[in-house]
Amino acid sequence: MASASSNFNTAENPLSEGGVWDNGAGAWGTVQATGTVAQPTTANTDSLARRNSPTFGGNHYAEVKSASLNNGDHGPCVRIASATDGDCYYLARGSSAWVRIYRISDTGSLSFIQLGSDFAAAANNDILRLDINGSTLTYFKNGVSQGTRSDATLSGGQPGFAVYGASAVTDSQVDDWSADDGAAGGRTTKNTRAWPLGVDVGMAWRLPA
Amino acid sequence: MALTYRFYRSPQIGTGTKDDPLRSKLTLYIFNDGSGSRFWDWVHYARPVRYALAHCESSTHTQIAADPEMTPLSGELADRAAIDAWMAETLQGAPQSIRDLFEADGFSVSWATTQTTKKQMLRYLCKVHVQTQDLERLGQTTTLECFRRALDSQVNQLPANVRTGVRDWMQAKGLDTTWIGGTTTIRQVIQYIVENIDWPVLTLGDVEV
Repeated sequence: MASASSNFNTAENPLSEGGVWDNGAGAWGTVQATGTVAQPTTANTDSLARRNSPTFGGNHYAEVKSASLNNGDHGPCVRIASATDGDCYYLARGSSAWVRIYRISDTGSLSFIQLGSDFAAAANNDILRLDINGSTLTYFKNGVSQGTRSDATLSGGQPGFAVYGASAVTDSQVDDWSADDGAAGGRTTKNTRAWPLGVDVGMAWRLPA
Repeated sequence: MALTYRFYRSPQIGTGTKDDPLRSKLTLYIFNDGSGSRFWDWVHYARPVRYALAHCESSTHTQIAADPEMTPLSGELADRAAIDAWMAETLQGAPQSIRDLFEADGFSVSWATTQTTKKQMLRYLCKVHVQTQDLERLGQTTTLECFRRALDSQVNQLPANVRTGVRDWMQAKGLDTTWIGGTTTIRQVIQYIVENIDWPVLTLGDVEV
């Protein structure tokens, strides 16, 4: 079982908290903590923090409080591949009045692949949670499910969050990050689905007769 | 106004940037504005298409259907019971143009019988989507070329590195590849993979297919 949290109450750039955060995986930029919130280190740069400890099961959630958003986007991420590969699922609250779930492909540059339609806009101080269970992604706002999306591309990884300020680093700030993989009962969905092609979920291949 | 469901095949649009993500063209018509309008889709990594289930006002369905790039796969369906009833119908009544579209998109219909249901066809589509998602996760973008080829093209028409990639991918899953020869068709290879995996519950949004 694994769970973790942070309120970013120690100012540091990049965010580290004793080495439990991988900062700026792959093509992503880095994240800093101000002592009260987390924000990008550099403006106009998609920035990612990946929690590297403890090790989370493939089914987990991540959530953040959307502290303030003026011009940019931010939100929780799940199944972030590694310290050097920023592949992940990203629940993004955008300042253009949308919330989206992206599958991010990190191949030296970031490619944004939107899953399904936009969700309705969120507001400052909303708690945004992205839960991944097998191939089902569920978006919760303030504890209430806003809907699901399906994708089987990524099968394991660690939770974290992303921030992007278009004009200034203070354009996009989050607070009170937490994550849980459910073994202790902290999840809001149950592990009920298994896909055949993932490495962390049940694989059952029926060989030909 | 009551919202209704409808299945669609739409092109994938966008360049992959955050401002212009890869997404279904349905995003130009359907916005999650709090009315309940939304859609769910599957990502296909070898072809720029999105198969989707949309839930929106009838007037929006009319707009979508008038777009020559959008293909409705069903009529408007009032509720989940209507969806289930539609999926239980056989493919026999489906227009030949839809069957031709599936084939052109790389989804074989040659396996279908007079008793094959629309639900079974949707499930088949989902399985092929998931195969491409697995290759994307593994970073085997070269092997994805197999899924871009016409179904009746032959294995010996694939570049050597693609043939090797397909063989290694199948063998890594415990699948037999000794039956595959130079004149084996892509259709046969994909069909074999679909048939020799024990698939779990597959969904499009909240609808099990």
